[in-house]
Amino acid sequence: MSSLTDLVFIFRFVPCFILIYYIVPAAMRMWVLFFGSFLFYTLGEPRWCLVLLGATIFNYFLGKWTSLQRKSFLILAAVFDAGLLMIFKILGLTISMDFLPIGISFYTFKMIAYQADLYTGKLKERPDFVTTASYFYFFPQLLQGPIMRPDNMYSSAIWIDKDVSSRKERLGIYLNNIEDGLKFFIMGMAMKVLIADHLAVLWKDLHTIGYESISTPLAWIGALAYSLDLYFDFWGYSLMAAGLGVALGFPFVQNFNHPYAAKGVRDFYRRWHMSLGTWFRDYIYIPLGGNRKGTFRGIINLLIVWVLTGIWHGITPNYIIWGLFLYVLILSEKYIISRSKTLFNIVSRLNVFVLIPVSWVVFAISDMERLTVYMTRLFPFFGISGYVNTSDYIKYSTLYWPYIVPGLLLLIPCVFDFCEKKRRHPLAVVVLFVLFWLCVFSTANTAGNPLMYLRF
Amino acid sequence: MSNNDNKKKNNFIHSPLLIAVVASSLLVTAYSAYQKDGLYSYYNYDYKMPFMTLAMRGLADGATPFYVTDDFVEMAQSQNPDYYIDMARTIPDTADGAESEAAAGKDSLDENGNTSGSDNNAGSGSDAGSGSSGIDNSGAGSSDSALDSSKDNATAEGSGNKADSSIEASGASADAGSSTSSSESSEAASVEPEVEKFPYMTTTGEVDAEYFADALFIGDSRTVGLSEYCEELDEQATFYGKVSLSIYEANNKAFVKTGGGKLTLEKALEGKEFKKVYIMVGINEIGYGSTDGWISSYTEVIEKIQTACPDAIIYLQAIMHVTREYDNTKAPDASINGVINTRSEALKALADNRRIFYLNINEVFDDDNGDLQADISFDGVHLKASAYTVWYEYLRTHAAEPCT
Repeated sequence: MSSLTDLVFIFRFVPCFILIYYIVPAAMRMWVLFFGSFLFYTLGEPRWCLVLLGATIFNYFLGKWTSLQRKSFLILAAVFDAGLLMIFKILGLTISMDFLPIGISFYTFKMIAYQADLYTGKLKERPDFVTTASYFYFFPQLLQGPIMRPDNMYSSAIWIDKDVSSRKERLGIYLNNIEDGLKFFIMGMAMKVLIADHLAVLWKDLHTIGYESISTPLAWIGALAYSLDLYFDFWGYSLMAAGLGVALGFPFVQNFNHPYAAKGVRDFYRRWHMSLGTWFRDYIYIPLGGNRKGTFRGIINLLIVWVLTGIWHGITPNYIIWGLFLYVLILSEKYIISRSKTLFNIVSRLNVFVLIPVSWVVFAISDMERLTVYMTRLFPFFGISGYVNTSDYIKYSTLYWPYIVPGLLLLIPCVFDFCEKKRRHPLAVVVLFVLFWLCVFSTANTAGNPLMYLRF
Repeated sequence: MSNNDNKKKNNFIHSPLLIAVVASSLLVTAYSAYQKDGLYSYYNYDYKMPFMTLAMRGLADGATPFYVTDDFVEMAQSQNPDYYIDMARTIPDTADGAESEAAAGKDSLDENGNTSGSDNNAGSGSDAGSGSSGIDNSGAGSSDSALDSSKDNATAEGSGNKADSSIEASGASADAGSSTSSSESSEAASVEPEVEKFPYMTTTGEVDAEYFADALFIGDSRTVGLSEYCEELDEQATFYGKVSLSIYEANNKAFVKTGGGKLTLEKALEGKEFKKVYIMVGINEIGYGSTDGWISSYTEVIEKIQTACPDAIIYLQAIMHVTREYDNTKAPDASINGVINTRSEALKALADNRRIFYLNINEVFDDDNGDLQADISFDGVHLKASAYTVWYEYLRTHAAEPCT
C-alpha cells in the first residue's frame, strides 16, 4: 500500500478502517487512528518502518523539554529531524533509491513543526503519546503530505462528539463527513489517474526517445505536459489526502490554490504546495527575521529559504539550480519589475506560463548532461544534431490532446471552483460516481502481475 | 419516534454518493468472487488485489456479465493445453492443404499448399542431398534456422553431406527435431517425384533500401519506433505498428490504422502484394498465457499473411531483449529475458527457411550477458532514436533474395 491510489488501500484498508473508526467510542478514536496508520505504513514500507517509530518516540520525549521552553532541546530536535532527512537523502542518492524511506520528507517536517509549536506555545498542551504519534503517522498525509500543522490535528470536533446528543445525529455527522470526503477524494483521484498519469506517459516517451532526438515543438509540448502532470498529480493527491482527512472528521487542508492563475512567480509559490511554503515561512523565514531586519537581511533570508526548498526536494544539482532560478525570478519581481505596473502585468504572466514550465524541466531532469540537451531543444539556437523526426509533435499532440485540454481547462480557477461549489448537486453525484469507476478501471488495468503490467 | 426515524432516513439520503459507491463496489466484488474460477479463471487470481480487479480486467479484455466478446474467449482458451499445435507430429504429405489442415490444425502453408511440417523439411533434406549447387545455404544448412550464420554460408558447400553434418553440428535445432528426423528420412525415402527448388537464399552481402519497397513491418511499439526514427525504412516500407500490440491482438483485432478507421490484419492485407513481411511482437504478452498459446496465435497470423500474399517471404524476428537493469527492477523474482528466450526459441521452430525465416536480431543489440545493451536504451525496453539504424543495418545484411 504505497500510495493512496492503491486499490488494496481503497477497497480493503479504507472500508475496514472507517468502520472501526466510527464504531468505537470517541475516546478510543485516536488509538484506532494510530494503529491504523501504523499498520498502513508498515505494510507499505516494511524496510524502514522502524525509522519512523524511533523518530516518533524520540521526538515525543524531546517534546517534554521543548514544551518547557528549553531552547537547546528545540535545537537538538531540529538538528535530529533535519539530519535524519539529510542522511537518508544522501543514502538514497549514493547507494540506491531503496534507501529513502517513504514519506520521510514530510514526517520530519511535521516533527520540527511539532517541536517549534510546543516551544512557542502555539500548541498549548503537550499531547500524550498516542496523540503525538497519530499526528506524525496520520495516514492520509504520511506518504506525500500535505504538511498539516499540529493544532489542526487536535482542534477537530470529532474528539468532542459527546456534545452531540443523539446517536442518529452523530451518524448523520459521520455520513456527512464521509460523503464530503469521498467527493474530494474522487476529484483528486480523477485528476491524478485520468489526467496526470496519462501525461506522464508522454514525458516518459520523450525520455525513451532520447532528448537529442525530439523536435523543438515537441520539447515545448513536453514541458507543458510535464507541468500539467506534476500539478494534477500533486494537487490530485493532495485532494485525496484532504478528502480522507475530512472523512475522518478533520478540517480540509488546502495545498493548492490555483497557482497558474497567479500573477508572477512570487504569487505562484503562495498558491503552490501551500503547506510547504507556509512551513518554510513560519519555521525558517520568520524565525530568521524575515523582512524585519532590513532589506539586505531579507534578501539573504529569502535565499536561505529557497536553497533549503531546493534541497528538500532533492540533493542533486538540478534541484539547487531550480531553487535558485525561482529565487532570482522572485527577487526580480519583488524589487525590479514591480516598479512598473504595466511591465509587471506582462512579465508576471510570462513568468508563470513560460518560465515556470521551464523551471519544471530543470526540476524534472537530474542528469545535468541530459538537462542541457533538453534545454538546447527548447531553445534551439545551436541547431539539431542527430536524427530528429520533425513531425513527431503531431503524433504526440494527436495522442495526448484529450488529456492536455481538460488539464488546461482545470487551470482556470472558476472551472474547479464551480465543481467544488456544486458538489452536492445530483448531477455532480452522477459524474463523480462515473469518474470513480473510470479511475478504478484505469488503475486495475495498469496494476497486476509484474510481468503483465508492462505495456509497450 | 418518527422524528429520529426521519433523521435516520435523511442521513442516508444525504449521502447518495457513498451509498452508490459502496453498493456498486459490493456488487462488483461479489460477482468477481463468484466468477473467480469461471469467467475469470484466465487471470490466475492470487488474492493480492481486491476481487473487483478481476471484473475490471475482464471488462478491458472483453468480458461483461452479459456478453463476452470472441476475443476474450480466444484469449482465455489459449491457456488450454489442448489448444496448441504439436509441432513434432508427422503429417503425411498431401497435395491439397485441406486434409492436413484438419489434421494438424494450423500448420503453415507454403505456396504448393503442402503443410510445412516435418515432411517438408524432409523434402529439403533430400534436396540438399541431391546436391543442387547454389541452393544449399538456406536449406538444411541453416536448419537451426538462424540467418545469422554467415559462417554457414561460407562453409556449407553444395553437397548434401555437408548440409547433413551442419545439422548435427548445429545441435540447437531445438524443436526442429523434425529436421533431424527429416534428414534421416530423406536418406531412407528420397523418392520425391519433383525436386522442390528453394526460392530464396540468404544474401552474402547487403541489400539496399529498395529491397524494402515492397516490405511490410508488423509489430509493437519497437516497430513503431523503427518507423519513426529510421528514415530509410519509413520512406520505403509499410508499417502496421501499434503500441502495446500483442500477437493475440494482431490475430484477432482491428489494429491497422487507415484513413477511415481500423482494420483487421486480413482486411488490411486484402489486395496488397507485399513481398517481405517482418514481424516482431511478444514483449507485451510476456506475462500472459503460455508459449504454446502464443505460438498457436503466431502461426495463425503467419497463415493469414500467406493466404493474402502467397509470394511473400516472412521474417520472424526474435523478441528484442530488455536491459538487465529493467529485468531486475520490474521482475525481481522472474526473468523477462528468460521468457523472451523461451518464446523466441519456439518461434525459431516455425521457420522453414524457404519462405519463413527467423532473424535473431538480439545478436546486434545484446551485451555479453544476453541482455539489451544498457547504453542504447533509456527506459530499458525501447531503443534510443539514434540506435534504430543498427536494426536497419542488420536487416540489410540478413535478407533473403531469390537465387535464380
